[in-house]
Amino acid sequence: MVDIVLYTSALRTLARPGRLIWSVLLALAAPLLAILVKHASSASHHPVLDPYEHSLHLYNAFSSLMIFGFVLVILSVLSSTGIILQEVEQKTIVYLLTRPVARWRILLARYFASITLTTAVAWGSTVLLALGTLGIGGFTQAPVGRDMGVLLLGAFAYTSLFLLLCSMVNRALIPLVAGLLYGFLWETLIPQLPGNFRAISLMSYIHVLAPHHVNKANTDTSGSLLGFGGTSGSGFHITTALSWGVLCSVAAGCLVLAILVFSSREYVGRAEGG
Amino acid sequence: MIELQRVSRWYGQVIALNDVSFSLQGGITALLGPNGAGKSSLLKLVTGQIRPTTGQVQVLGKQPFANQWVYARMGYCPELETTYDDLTGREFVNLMARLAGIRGAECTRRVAEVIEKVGMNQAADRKMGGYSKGMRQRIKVAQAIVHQPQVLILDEPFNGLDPVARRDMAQLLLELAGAGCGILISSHILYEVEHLTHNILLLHKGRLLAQGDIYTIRALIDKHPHSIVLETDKPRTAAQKLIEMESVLSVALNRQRPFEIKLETHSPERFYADLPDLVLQQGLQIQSLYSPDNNLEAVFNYLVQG
Repeated sequence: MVDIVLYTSALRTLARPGRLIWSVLLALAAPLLAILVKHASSASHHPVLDPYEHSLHLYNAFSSLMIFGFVLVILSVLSSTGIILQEVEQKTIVYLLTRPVARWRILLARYFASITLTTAVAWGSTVLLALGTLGIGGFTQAPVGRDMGVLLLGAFAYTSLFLLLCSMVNRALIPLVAGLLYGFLWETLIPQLPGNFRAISLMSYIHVLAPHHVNKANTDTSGSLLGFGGTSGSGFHITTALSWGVLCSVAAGCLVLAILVFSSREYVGRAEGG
Repeated sequence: MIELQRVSRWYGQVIALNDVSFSLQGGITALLGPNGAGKSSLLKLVTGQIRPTTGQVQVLGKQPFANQWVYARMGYCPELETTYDDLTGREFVNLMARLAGIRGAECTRRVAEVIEKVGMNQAADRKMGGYSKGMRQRIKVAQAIVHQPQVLILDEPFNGLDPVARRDMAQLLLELAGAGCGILISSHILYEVEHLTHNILLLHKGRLLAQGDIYTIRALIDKHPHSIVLETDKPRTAAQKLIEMESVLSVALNRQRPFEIKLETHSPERFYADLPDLVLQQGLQIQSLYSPDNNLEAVFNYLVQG
């Protein structure tokens, strides 16, 4: 009962009208851009040889670059910081922390609310992208189901990671900046580095589970165009099993650590009044 | 009810509370002190939001930090003005009630009851973002009492309330105390709590300056002359006899109030013991007798200013 109350109130906080508008815009960005590109290609003087291949190419490109590389990461960062640190900064956290509810339940309810929002937006974006590029007919042939599953796993992993960061500070700006740098620099650059560096990028594992080959003839290195390495080719081989293991371990491990930190930390600063 | 044993609390290099010890049993206790005295830090310790750096805090016999057992029996009205602005007052109190484990029809009934008690019936279904300071204050008190706590902690609850609302709030707190709820209330405005309780904790610069009954504390300050004002039909005769009393240090007549005498004594107890004899011997009629020092303002000023 209390868990449902906590979850719904957190979801309500995350889905405030202001936030919701941005989430909807994020969900629409990839499909709209893909449709624009598709129409631009159709109208160009260079005819598309295989329309289906072209549509699939667009789906893979925009799914990989915008949904996995942008929507998933940015929403995980924003919702993770929003679920706890916004209340810490506004000091309304005191109402939650002085109620007879275990702190881990508060954190867990908000964690699931955050994942719900992130996943819902990413899924919505994926479905719209598939419909926009492949149409209803090609929808079933696109890896939509697989992508949605991996997006859910990615949401768990990223949200846990950023939640751990948020639980260790009292200012939203720190994890927000760190999260954005991680998401857009680390996760983009690290997979490009030679050697075993890509082993320390979550996105490398995500793209092993959801490879978005932009060219069927070149399945091994297709991701490099978008900044995501393939499954092999630079010494460190990431298998599907390893990807599942790493992403699940990060999700569970960071969540457990975040719960431990949240249960023992003080979230109120020095008194300003009396 | 609440016990602190040699509690100190540091924020980095800054000490907020320094070796504070006290024990509160029940009724209403006023936590007094100027801004920066450490009142809010003390309340945060008592409500388990922070831990003491040294010493021990106990509420109902248990340490309060992140303690659900304590929170089930404690209500807290923080000083902060921020609330959940997108919720209505009723939704907010309802949420807090449900987080306290109250369910269904009982929850609805209790929420309606406390909203009425704090006088927020009219505005309960408006978003809190549009509330005045006084409305926020009242709805914060409502959420603090909705689960019928044994211990109620209120941080500056009279802030922003108009005189009528202050009176109603004071009445509500007296009712709660009468029903057995132990109340610790902080304020830096002394007259606000003076009519609620004579039991005080006086903090200054993180130290507990005084604890106990306001009059007892006042009496302990015997090196400080204690002022008494009496009104009689023969002020000059009375003044002449009063100055002869060993316990009286000075006597002054008031030109604006010809029947009033203001005297200073270093021993109020002795003075009050000797006064009836004087009245009988001189056949004085005493219209009024009071001590302007017997208020929190005087004690507070005296203790703080040393």
